[in-house]
Amino acid sequence: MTELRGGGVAVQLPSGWEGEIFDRTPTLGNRSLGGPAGDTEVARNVIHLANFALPNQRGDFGSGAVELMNSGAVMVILFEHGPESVDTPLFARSGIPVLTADEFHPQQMQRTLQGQSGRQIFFNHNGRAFCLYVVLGSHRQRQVLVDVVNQVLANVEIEPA
Amino acid sequence: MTALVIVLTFVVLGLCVLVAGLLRSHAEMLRAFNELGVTFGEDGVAHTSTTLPDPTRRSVPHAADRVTEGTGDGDIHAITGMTPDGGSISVAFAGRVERTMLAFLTSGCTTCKNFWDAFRAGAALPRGVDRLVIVTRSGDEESPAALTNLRPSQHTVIMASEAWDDYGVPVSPYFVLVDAAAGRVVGEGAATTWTQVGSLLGRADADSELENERRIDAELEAAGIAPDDPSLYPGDS
Repeated sequence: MTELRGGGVAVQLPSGWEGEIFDRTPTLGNRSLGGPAGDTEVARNVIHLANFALPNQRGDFGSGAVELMNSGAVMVILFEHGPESVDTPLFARSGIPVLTADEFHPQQMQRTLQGQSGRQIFFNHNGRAFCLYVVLGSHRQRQVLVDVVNQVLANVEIEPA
Repeated sequence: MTALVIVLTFVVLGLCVLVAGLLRSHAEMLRAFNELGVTFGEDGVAHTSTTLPDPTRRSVPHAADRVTEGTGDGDIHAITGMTPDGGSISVAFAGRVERTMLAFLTSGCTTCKNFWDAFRAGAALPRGVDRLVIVTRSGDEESPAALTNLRPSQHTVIMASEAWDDYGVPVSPYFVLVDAAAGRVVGEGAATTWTQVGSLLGRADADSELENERRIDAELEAAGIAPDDPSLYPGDS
C-alpha cells in the first residue's frame, strides 16, 4: 500500500489507487471563500481518492474527473469544513462512515451523469467536520463497488483537531 | 638580423606547441562529451543523445550510453510526493490500462525550460500516450516557488526524489513511458524537445508494428503457410 498523508489525514491507498490531499489549513493567505474575515467559512482540506487516473484540473467535488469514470471506477472525496461546523446538526453523525449499496442513488450526484451513482454524508471525527462524497462509475455495480469504497475508508485516519 | 630570426623561430615553435596542445585538449573534450551522450551538429549546437528507440523494450545498457541510460528495473512504481502548493499526491499505475509519460524535469536546467514552456503552451501528448506526469526532485532539492511559476495547469506535477531513484533516472530532462496494461516501463530516454519525444515515439511505434508483422510472417512461414496460402483468405473462393 501507498501512504498519502497531509492536512492531518493519512490514507493507505490500495494498489492501483491514487489521490491528492489539498492542504488548505487556514492561513492568512488562503481564506478562499471571500467575505469579511471572521464571519466567513474557511476552505479546509480536500482529499481526492480514486482508482482511475485523476486529471489535474478538477473541482473540489470531482467535476472534470467524474466525467472520465468508467463502470468500474470509484472516486472518494473528503471535504473538510471549518471547526465552527463540528457541533452543528448537519455534522452530528460521528465517525468515518461505512457505506451500504442501498444508500447510493443517481440523484445524489452533484451533477447527474448517466449510469453513475453517488452518496453524500456529513460527519464529524476527532473534532473535525467532513463531507464525504462518493461517486460510483456504475449504479448497477454498486454492490461490488461499495465494498471497494469501504476498504479505502477503513484505511483513512483523521488526526484530532 | 640573425638574432631576430632566431627569436622569431622560437616564437613560432612555441605557438605551434600551444596550438597542438589546444587541439589535443579540444579533441579530448569532444570525446568526453560524446561519451556523455552529447554531440555537436553542423549548426554547432550541442544535442544530447536520444534513447527512446523502442517503446516495446528497455534499451540495452551500453558503455557509451551509460550517462543517459536509465538504471531502473523496468517495473512500475507508484509515485508519491508533494505538489508545489504543499499538497500530498500519489499517482498509481497498477491495474490500469493507460500509458503515462513521466517527464523528469528540474526548474533549473536550460533544456528543461523547452519542456516547461511547451507544456504550459498546451503541447499535445504524443499518439498512444494518455497522460503526462511531471516529476521533479523533492522540496529539499527543488524550489516549490520556481515550480509554481513553471508548472502547466493541465498536467500533474509531483515533487518526489524517490521516483528518480525508482526509475533510475540518470539525467534531466528524462522521459519514461509507463504502460500500465503491460505492467512495465516500455521506453525511456533523454531528448531536447517535446517534438523530438513525439517523433521518436511515433517512429518506435511504427518499428514495433513492422517487427510484429515480420514476427507473424515468420511464424506462419515456419508453420508452412506462405503469403498466398488460401487458408489466409477464407472468404475467397
